[in-house]
Amino acid sequence: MAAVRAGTIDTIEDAVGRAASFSQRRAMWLRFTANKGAVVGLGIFILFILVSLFAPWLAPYDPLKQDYQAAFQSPSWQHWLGTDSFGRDMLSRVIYGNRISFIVGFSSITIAMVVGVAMGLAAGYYGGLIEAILMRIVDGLLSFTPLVLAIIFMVALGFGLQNVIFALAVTFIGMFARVTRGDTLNLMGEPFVEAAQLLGVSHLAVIRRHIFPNVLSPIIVQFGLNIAVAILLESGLSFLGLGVTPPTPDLGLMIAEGRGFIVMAPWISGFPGLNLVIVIVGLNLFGDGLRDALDPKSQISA
Amino acid sequence: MADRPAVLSVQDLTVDFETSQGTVNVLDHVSFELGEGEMLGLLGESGAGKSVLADAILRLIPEPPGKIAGKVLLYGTDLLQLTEAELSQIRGKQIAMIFQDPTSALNPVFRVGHQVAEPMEIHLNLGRRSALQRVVDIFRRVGIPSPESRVANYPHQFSGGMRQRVVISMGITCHPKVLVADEPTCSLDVTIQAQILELIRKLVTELQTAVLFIFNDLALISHLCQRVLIMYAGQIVEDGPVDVVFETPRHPYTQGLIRSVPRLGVRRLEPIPGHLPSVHEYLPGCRFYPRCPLPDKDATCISTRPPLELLGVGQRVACWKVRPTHAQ
Amino acid sequence: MPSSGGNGVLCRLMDLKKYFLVPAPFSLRNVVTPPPPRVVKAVDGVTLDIVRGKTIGLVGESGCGKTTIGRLMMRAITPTSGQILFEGKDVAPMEGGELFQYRRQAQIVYQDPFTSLNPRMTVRRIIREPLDVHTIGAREERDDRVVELMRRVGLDPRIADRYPHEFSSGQVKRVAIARAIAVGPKLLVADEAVSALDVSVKAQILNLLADLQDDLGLTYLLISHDLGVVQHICHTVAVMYLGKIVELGSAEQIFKRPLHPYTVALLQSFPRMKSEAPEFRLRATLEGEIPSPINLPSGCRFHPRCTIKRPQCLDAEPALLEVASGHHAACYFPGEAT
Repeated sequence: MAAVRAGTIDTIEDAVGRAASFSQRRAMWLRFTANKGAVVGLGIFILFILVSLFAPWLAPYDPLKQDYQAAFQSPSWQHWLGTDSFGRDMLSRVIYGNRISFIVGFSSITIAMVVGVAMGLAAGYYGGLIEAILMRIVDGLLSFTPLVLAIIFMVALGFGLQNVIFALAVTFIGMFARVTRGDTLNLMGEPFVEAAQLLGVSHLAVIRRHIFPNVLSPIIVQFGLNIAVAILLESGLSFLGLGVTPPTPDLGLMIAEGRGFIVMAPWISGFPGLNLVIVIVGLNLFGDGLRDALDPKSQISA
Repeated sequence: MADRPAVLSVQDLTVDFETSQGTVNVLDHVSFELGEGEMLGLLGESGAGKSVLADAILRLIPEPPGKIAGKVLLYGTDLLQLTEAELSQIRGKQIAMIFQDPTSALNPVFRVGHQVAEPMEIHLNLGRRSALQRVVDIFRRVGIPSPESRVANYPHQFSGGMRQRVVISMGITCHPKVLVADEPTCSLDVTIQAQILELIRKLVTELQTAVLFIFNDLALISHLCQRVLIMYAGQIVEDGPVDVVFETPRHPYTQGLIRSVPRLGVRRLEPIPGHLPSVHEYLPGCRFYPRCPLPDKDATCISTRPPLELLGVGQRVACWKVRPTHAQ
Repeated sequence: MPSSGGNGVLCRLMDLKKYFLVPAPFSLRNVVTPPPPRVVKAVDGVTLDIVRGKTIGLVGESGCGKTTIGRLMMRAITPTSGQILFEGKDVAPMEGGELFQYRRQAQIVYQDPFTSLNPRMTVRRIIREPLDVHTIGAREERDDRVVELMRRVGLDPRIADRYPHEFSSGQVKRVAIARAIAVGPKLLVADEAVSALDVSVKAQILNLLADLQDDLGLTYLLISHDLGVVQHICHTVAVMYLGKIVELGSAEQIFKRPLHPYTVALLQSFPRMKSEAPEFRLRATLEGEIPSPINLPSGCRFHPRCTIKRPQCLDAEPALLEVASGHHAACYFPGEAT
């Protein structure tokens, strides 16, 4: 260990003193919590997850159990949200409906994210033929409106939960791929990426260690926002009869089933609809709040 | 002090900013004078506050979160007391700024002729035709070849050096009395830099404009300016005629800076240890204290701010230990 | 072969050339039959010796090719022709394992301290990465080695788990230097490595680089437009213009007795402290713009801007010839410009 010569070392106070400045994470948290809408959105999001996970324990009745005697009951103490045309408890059905939305939303977007981000990273990093091929696929996917694309897939594949997840996943791959590729290209110009390459780091390791962590923020925001869209799409598909099949409790299906009774029993469509609105608005608020909080700080420089 | 009539007199200029972590002070009682036709150099490292000073003089600092106190007298009129409408009459006409980066100082979607003509149309009430004619003359004067055709070009059609000449043209169109040049050549190659500086020097002599140059390069200031202000952590710590300050620096920071200049034949320099403190770390007394090498620095240095005092031949120093008699 | 003599030669550049193809600008007239792409001769025949344990500076203005030479040395790009003989072996065609081994020998320090480090990695991880990649030392010992490296560049090891953005530019530059020397390279390419630093920080880092050179026997290739730094730290200086070396010599020779008219003009534009050079006057003797390496003039590349040009300068390019001991110039009338 060489002796450190005078004039080259920073004083210890200098080095440690910088700790007085806020850490990045804490600043982000503060920005997020200052945004009331974002906090409400986060609350709704957490509630959504909890309801979906604990559905079997929360639901008072079996959502599939039919009881013609109890059909068309308006909200009461026995049935907080009333019953539908088959006498099934609306509260239980809505709770399980959230679960279906949660499963579909998370699975499809997670798959889309994994595949889309991988495509975006590869396209941005390697460029050339790889980028050309991948981006043409992405362009193809993105040239359709998401709903139309999803419908096409469902018609081609048939209905049911699994196919809905697959169709939605493919629909969203394009968005993740494009965002990731753009950010990757920006990063490729930074010296630290080249520095890693000139160190002899393998391509895969450069992507994993240097590119991926730095493109993460916008991807996370996309994740949050896309889940909301996915849930909406899923409900839309089910509403049209192109999604999950009855008797599965699904918010979209329930709205469709309640259509005929909108005047005499508005709660059959009403509560699932309200639930859907709350979830989607909440997720959007959360996603927007996340995006604002992750923005780089603006600093006053002298 | 300047030995010519003062065009610009800055008195106790203080700038604070409101941040989420409290109020921070960025400029602290900065006072100096700029004489007619004089070239004054402001030397400071990043974080010292030089750009803030330039912005404060031109009232370009957003006023919340900024808070400006003190006086900025242009021919006796306090710029800090004027309304925005009155200020827009003065900016560009009597006092103008040349920015660091010519690329961002010019709007890429407008032709340069239009951009350079604009201040003349506004301040001198010239019509488009006559303003453009003036632009051609100015371009010729600043050394842009084929000025008649160049006025119709867009900024991206110029090289870096030429673009800076365009920016300079914009600054001098209305023959301002004061020019603030914030590192006007930092993005240019050294031979182009020499051309631009020679140009500025020539124009300044012809127009008798007073210039406040902001630089981070000691040698450059020593060749371009008559007087120099040394800034550290938002304060002026030394000022005076450039030869006097650089040959007999009195403030330990100035001495440290001069020892830090790389030179031929010397293997090791004697740099100032540490680095500029952040705005949150300023001491109430002398802000240079943590890095000061003087052996007799003491508690007064920590607690009380040393005033900028005259030390002979127009040289002022702000240091408790560099005075004929010590303060208690 | 021009050489400034002395100890072993670490690396020898032999007639190195790098040409880039730039597509012709799009215009409606050319849509049907586009003209051929233009050739940018960024580096056009450079032969140079880099002496072990010393610092060689490449100076010149935009477009002279000095940055390209740095990138060629690092094998970030491959030469169009010519050789880069590092300890006798040509680096230019290396691939795979051989190239990986070479990466340990030569490292680079960039200009901007902050963008040269991954903002999401702690200082410790940044300095440790080269050790992991090249499996230097046993895994358990690597953290100790990180601490040692930090101390060597003047950083307090206690800051190892913080992120670069929390520090000043000087400290971040030290982290970048620590990363560069972690693999124990023989050659360090400093690409404007101190240009973005303030005066006092620059001095600290220059001292650090001098210490490291003395302690570790490092060889430096300093690419810089800042003549002040070059005169201070370089043993040898090569002045480049439009892809070729126009003058080569010791720092003393270049700065005190410049031979090539371009060097003379460059030095007249470079302000020096009066205490150092009392008779110096800042002058802009060079007129016009810096030309681009696309349309090269005939004969000597510098002749359009040269103050002492004569008819023969337009005919053929002057070769880089030894004019005084170890001092080379590519000019038919070296030493005549003032």
